[in-house]
Amino acid sequence: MQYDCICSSSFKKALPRFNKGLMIGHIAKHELRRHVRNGRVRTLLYVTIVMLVASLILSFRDYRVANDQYMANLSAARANWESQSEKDPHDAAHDGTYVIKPIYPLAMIDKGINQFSGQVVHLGAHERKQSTLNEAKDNSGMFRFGELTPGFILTYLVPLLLIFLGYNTFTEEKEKQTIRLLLVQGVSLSKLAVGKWLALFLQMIVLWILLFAGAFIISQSVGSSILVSVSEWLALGGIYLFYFVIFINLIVWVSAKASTSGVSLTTLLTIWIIITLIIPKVSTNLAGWSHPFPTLQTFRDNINEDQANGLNGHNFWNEAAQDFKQKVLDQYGVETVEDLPIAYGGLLLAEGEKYESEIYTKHFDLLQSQYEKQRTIYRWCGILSPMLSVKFFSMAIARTDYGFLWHFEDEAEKYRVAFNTTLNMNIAENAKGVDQYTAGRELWSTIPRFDYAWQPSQSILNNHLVEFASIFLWAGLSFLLAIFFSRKIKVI
Amino acid sequence: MGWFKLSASHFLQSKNQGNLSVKDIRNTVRLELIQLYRNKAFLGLLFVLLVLMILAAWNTHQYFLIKKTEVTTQLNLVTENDLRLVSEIDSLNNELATYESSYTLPTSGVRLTYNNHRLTWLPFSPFSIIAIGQGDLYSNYKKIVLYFNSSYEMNSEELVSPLEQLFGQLDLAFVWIYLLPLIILLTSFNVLSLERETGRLKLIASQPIMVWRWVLLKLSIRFLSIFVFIIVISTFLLLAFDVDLVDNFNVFLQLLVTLLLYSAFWFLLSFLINLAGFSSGKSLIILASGWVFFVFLLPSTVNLLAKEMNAIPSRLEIINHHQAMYNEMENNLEVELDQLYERHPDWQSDDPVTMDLSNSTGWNINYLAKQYIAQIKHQTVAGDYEHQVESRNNWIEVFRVISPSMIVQSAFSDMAGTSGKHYRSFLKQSQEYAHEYRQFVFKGLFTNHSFTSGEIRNLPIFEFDFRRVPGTFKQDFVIMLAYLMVLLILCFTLSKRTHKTLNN
Repeated sequence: MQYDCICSSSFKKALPRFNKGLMIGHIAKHELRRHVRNGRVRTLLYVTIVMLVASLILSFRDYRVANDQYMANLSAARANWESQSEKDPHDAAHDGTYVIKPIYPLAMIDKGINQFSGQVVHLGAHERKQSTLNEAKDNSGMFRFGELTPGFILTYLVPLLLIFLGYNTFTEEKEKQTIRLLLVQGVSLSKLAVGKWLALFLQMIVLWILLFAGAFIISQSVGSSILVSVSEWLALGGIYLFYFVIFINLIVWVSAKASTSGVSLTTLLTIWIIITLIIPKVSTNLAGWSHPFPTLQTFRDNINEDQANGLNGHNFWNEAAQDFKQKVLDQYGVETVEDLPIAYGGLLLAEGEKYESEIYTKHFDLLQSQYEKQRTIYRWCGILSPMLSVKFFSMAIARTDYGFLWHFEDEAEKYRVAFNTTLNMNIAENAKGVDQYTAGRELWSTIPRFDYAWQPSQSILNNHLVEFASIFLWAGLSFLLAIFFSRKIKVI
Repeated sequence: MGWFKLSASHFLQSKNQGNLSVKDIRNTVRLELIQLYRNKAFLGLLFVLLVLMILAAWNTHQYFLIKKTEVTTQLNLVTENDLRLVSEIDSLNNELATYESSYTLPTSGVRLTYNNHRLTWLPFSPFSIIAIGQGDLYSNYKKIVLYFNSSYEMNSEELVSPLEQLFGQLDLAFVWIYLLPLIILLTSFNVLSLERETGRLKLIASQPIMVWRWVLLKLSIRFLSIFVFIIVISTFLLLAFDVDLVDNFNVFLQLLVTLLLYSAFWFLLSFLINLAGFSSGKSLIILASGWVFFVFLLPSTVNLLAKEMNAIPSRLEIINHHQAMYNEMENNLEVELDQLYERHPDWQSDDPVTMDLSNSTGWNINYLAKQYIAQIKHQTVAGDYEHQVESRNNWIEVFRVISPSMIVQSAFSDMAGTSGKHYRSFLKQSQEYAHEYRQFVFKGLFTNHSFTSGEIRNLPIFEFDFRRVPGTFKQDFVIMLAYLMVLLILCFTLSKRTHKTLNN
C-alpha cells in the first residue's frame, strides 16, 4: 500500500513536468524501489549474487588448476616421448604419444561438453583414435543434477530469478486494483509495460555486469597464454543478455495476460521448464532417433572393410602393395627392391599410413556429417527453446562445443600423419642395409611439438548465424507480444 | 463454484466438534474428486505427465534395445571366433590343415592373444527402463584384449555424441524426479490460500471443523489421485515393455514405495506451506523455490563441494605415469624381465623359439612381457587414483541424504542397474577377469604351449557379481521416512497455530 501511495502522489506531481520518456523512467524507478523494499526480492538477489560470485571464483580457480595441469602434463608427455629408449622408429610410432586438449579461458563461463568429451588423443601408428579420458565417467550419477558453475547459473537460475522478481509485475496491480488509479492519472498501458520491463531489465543488467565484468577482470589475471578478445567477451555476454531479455518479455507478457499472480507464476514456471529442461531433452532424443551414430563396432567394421584391400605398411604381398612397389621401382628406374637406394619398408609404411589416414578421415567425416544433421534438429528445436540456440553459441565461443572437439581431433590427425611420416621416412632414409635399425633421442627431439591453432572467432560467428537469427526472432517477437498484451489489459 | 456450494453446505451441516465423520469424509472425497476432474488445468497436467511418461519409457526401451543388441552381437562374435579356433585346432590335429605362421597357427598363444578376445558384460536389469542413469557414458560390454593395457583401464567406450550426454536422455526417472514434484506443487499450492482470497475461508472457519484437517483431506485426495495415476501408468508401461513384475516383485515394490515417499514429501511440504497461511502467489513462490532448492541448488552445491573437498589430480597424470613406467622398463629391460620370471617361474621356458625375437612367437612374448611389466609397475598409482575417485563418489553418496531428489535419483538408478556404482564395479570386475585370463594365456604363450580345443572350450568365463553392488533401499527408506516425520511434526505444530489464528 505504501508503494501505491508513492505511486499515485508522485505521478500527480510528475505528469505535468516530465515528458513521456521520463515517465517510463519514473515507472521503472518506482518498480525498482518496490523491489528493493521487498524482503523476498532482496533475499533472492543476494542469494543469486553470492552464488554468482562464488561460482565465478571457483570456476576461475578450476580453470587455473586445469591450465597448470595441462601445461605440466604437456611437458611430461613430451619428456616421455623424448626419453624413450633407442628403438625402431616404427616401434616408437606404435608406442606413440599424446596430445592434450587445451582449455580456452571462456570455458570458465561455459564448460559445455568438456566433462563428457575426452581430454587427450593418443597418436600412434595405423589408427586414428578418438579423444579419451572422459571426466564425467569419474563422477557419481549425482553430477547429472548439474554443477554450480556460471554457465549453470546463467542458463537455469537467472531466468528463474527473473521470473520470481517479475511474475506479479502486472498481476499485483490488477489484484490491488492500483492499475485503475494509474490509468486515471494518464499513464498509458504501453508505457507502464515498458517501465516495468525496464525495471526488470535494470535488475538483470546489474547481475549481468557483475558476472561478465568480474569474469573479464579475473581472466586477465589468470596469466594464460591464450588471449580472449573483447569482441568474444561481448559476443558471449551479448547472447546471454538477449536470453534474459526474452525471459523478461515473456514475464511481462504472461503477467499482463494472467488474472492472478498464482496463474502468472504457474504459467511462467511451466514455460521455464519447457524451455530449459524438456525441449533440450526431447531434441536430444529427436536428434538421436533421426540421425543415430553407428555403434563403435559398426564404425570400426566399416573402416576395416575399406582398409582390407588397401595399403598397409606391414603387408608386402597384397595387390595394393604390389602396385605401390612397381610405382616406386619405376620412379627410381630399378628392377628390384634391393636395388633401391632407400629402405623400401619405410616407404611402404609411410604410404600405408597416408592411405589408412584417408580411410579414417572419410569415416570420421561421415560421423561429423551425421552430427551436422543432428545439429539441424537442435536448430529447429531452437525455435521452440531459445536456451538451445544460446547454449550452442555459448559453448562454441567458449570452445567447449562439439565443433571445437572435431576441430581439435582433425588437427591432431593431421599432426599424427606428419608425425608418422617423419618416423617412417627416417627408416626409409637410414635403414637401407642395416640389420636392426634403431633411432634415439636425436630423432625423437626433431619431431615438432603439436601446436594447436584455435578456430578464429569470425568462423564461429559465421557458423552460428542461424542461432543468432533464432535468438533475435525470439527477442523481437516476445517483446511485441509483451507490449501488445499489456495494451489489452482489461482493467474493469 | 458449484462444488464449493455443495462442500460448504456439507460443512455447515457437520455437527462434530472439529472431526469429520466417515460419512462426511466420503461426501467430501466424492465432491473433491468431482471438482478435481472438472478442473481443466489439473487434467492438463496429468495429460502432460502421461505423454512424457510414455515418451520417456519408449525412449529408454529403445535405448537399451540397441545396447542389448550390441552386447548380443559381441557375444556371438566371441563364440564364433572360439568355435572357429576349436575347429581349426581339430583340423590341425587330424592333419587336415597346415599353418606356417604363429599368428595363424590355431594352437599358438599368439593366435589366441590377437584373434580371440574375451568379452565382459554388465547384464541388463529388468527395470533398466526406468533410468538410463550413467548408461549413456559407458558401454555395457568391454573387450578384453591382451595386447594393449586398455583392458586394465577403468573405461569402456561407445560412440555417443557428448551433446546427448550433456542434455541427458528423457527417461522415467527424469519425469519422476523433476516434473512430478512440480505437478504436485502446482496442483496443491493454493488449497487454503484460494479459500482465503475468495473469502470462503471465513465460512469454513465458522463451522465446527478444524481447518487443517479440511486442508489435509483435500490435499490427500489430490495426492492419492496423482499417486494412483502415476502407479497405474507406470505399471502399464512396465508391463507394456515386457518387465516381469511377478518375478521382480521385490524391485517393483521398492519402486512403488520410493515413488510414494517422494510424492508424499512434496505433498507434505505443500501442506506445510498451506498451513503457514501465505497468499497463493507467495505460497507458490516458496514451494517453487523449495523445488529449485532441493532439485537444483542442493545437488549442484553437493557436487561442487565434493570436488572441492575431494580434489583428484588429472587423469592425464595417470597416462603420463604409464608412459614413464614403460620408458623406465624399456631402459632397464633385462633386469625387469629377470624380475618378471622370478615372479612367474612357471612362465619361464628353455624353448629357443620363445627367446628368438626374429620369429613372431619370440617377438610377441617380448612385446607382451613389456606391456605386462609396464602395467604392473603402473597399477599401484592407477589403483590409488581409482581409490580417490571412489572416495569422492562415496562422499557424495553420503551427502545425497540432504536432498530427497538425490536420494530417489540414486534409488532409481540402483533399481535400473545403471548407477555409476554398477558401471564402476563392472569395470573393476572386468579388470580382475582380464588379470585372471592373462595369467592363463601368458603361461601358455610364454612357454610355447600348444593350446588344445578342450582348453579353448574351457577358457575362463566372466560373470558379473551383483552382490558387489549393494543396494541402498533400506537406507533410502529410513531417510525418506525421517524427512516425512520432520515435515509431519512441523505440520502438526503449524496446524495448532493455524487453528488458533482462525479462531482469533
